[in-house]
Amino acid sequence: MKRLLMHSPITVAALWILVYLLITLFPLMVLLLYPPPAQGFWIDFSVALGFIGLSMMVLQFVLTARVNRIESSYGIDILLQFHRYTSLVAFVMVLAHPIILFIGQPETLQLLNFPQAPWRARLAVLGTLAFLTMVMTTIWRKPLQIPYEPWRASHTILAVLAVGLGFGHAIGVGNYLGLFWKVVLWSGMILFALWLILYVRLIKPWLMMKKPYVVEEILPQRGDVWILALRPLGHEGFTFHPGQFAWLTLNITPFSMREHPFSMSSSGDHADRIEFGIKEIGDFTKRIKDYQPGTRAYLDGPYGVFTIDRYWDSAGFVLIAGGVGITPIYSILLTAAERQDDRPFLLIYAAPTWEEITYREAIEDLKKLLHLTVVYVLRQAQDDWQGDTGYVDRELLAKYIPLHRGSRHYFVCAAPVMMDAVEKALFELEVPVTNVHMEHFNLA
Amino acid sequence: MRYSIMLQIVTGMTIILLGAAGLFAWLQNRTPAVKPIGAPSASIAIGSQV
Ligand SMILES: Cc1cc2nc3c(=O)[nH]c(=O)nc-3n(C[C@H](O)[C@H](O)[C@H](O)COP(=O)(O)OP(=O)(O)OC[C@H]3O[C@@H](n4cnc5c(N)ncnc54)[C@H](O)[C@@H]3O)c2cc1C
Repeated sequence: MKRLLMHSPITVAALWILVYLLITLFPLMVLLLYPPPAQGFWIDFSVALGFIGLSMMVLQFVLTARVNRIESSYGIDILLQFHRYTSLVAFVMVLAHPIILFIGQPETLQLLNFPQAPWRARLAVLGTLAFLTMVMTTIWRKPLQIPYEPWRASHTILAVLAVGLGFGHAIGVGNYLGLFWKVVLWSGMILFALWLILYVRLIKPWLMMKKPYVVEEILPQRGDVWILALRPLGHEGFTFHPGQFAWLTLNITPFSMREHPFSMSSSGDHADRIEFGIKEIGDFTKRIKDYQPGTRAYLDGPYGVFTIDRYWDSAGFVLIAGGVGITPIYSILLTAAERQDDRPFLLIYAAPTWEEITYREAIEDLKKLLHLTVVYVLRQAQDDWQGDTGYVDRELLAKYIPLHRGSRHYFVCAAPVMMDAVEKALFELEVPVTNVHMEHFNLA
Repeated sequence: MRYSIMLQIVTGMTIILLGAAGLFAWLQNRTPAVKPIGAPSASIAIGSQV
């Protein structure tokens, strides 16, 4: 019973939400012990919102620190989406805090007069501006044409500034944080967030330095994809659950924090050679082919929950790939073949043309080793093509997925538009939501 | 689908957090049932402001 409950995604979600709420509210409720004089309902309400916003901001550091235990419940994309939604909630709370104050006590509007305002108010204004900049540059990163890496670096700096200045403001006001032990408690929380940043930026890269890899070979694949094969240097490397990914740093020190996430495409059981299938799309990926064997690389991983290993009891699997989204799925198939998995696999694989089907020959070979059915769906097909064409939509899925929908687990990895369409179609076809697993390649 | 479920969860959590902020303000501002004699000035202030 306990095991069943712990494996139910709903129970796990409920537990995490409870933990999140408790951690957010505990530091606030502590402020009610030996409280300062009350200031009227609305003012105290606004103060509470400010404190809740601050603890939510601190928790964002935990959410994004790649803590394996949290990540292993849901996966990085779900976690980041939660991070986005809760950041917006925190932002609205932080904004509501002064607005309610200005309405309740209009004389406090003077605090906005920056040159004459006391330091505590200046800190609040600066902290809010840092938060605002962070939210805006994240929501509109693409329209503002901010490249990913500078955005990521500035996001960290702005986050530290927003939390630090917000906390400085609360201490400066000193009303609820008037007692020494309360300051100690809140400082502990803030220091913990800073420690997480230090861990991610310094300790983790240092640990990665101790386990380097070298490029063994770089081979071309169909569909503008390059296979990058790495070998661990002086250590054992790692095995992984097929479908997982790692953060790759190539030819530079891990301290530079210029790493990119890629799904492993090799068998999860071979630690001595780890392969990635990398599609040319931008600065980093277009340069992959130019690296030479022997180039140093560093990996942070494995991460992710996009793996059939978690569903040992499933009667079989439906794998849906679009373009380079085949990489984790290819690893799943390869590992299953090596493990002599005898369950049925259905692969629905969308590609622009027959020539651009990445791993085509290797997948055909796997048919001999696995109970594998492959449905290629081509965007543009030649006249003699007898298979499916167009998009992976509801009709196509209805034609191929088993009648007993819940008997399978479904793994989808493709471009965002295709993932959304497939997710919706599977839902309409009454596939249980808990049986659908997705890997988003586009995190930002 | 998963994101819309999450949106609903986050909305629910936000309501709980707002409720908690309301509870905090209410606890701070409620009138003590019996004003203790010789109570510290803070609690007198609480009573007097409501
Ligand atoms: C879990 C996961 C698994 C992935 N697996 C694969 C794979 O197996 N094969 C493959 O070809 N691609 C994979 N990707 C996508 C790959 O990470 C991006 O294509 C790559 O980082 C693009 O970098 P770029 O500089 O060439 O392109 P750019 O043009 O700079 O970026 C294109 C987009 O990629 C994303 N991106 C860029 N840099 C980073 C970064 N440092 N960290 C996170 N996201 C970034 C951003 O959304 C950006 O808008 C995966 C992504 C994720 C999140």
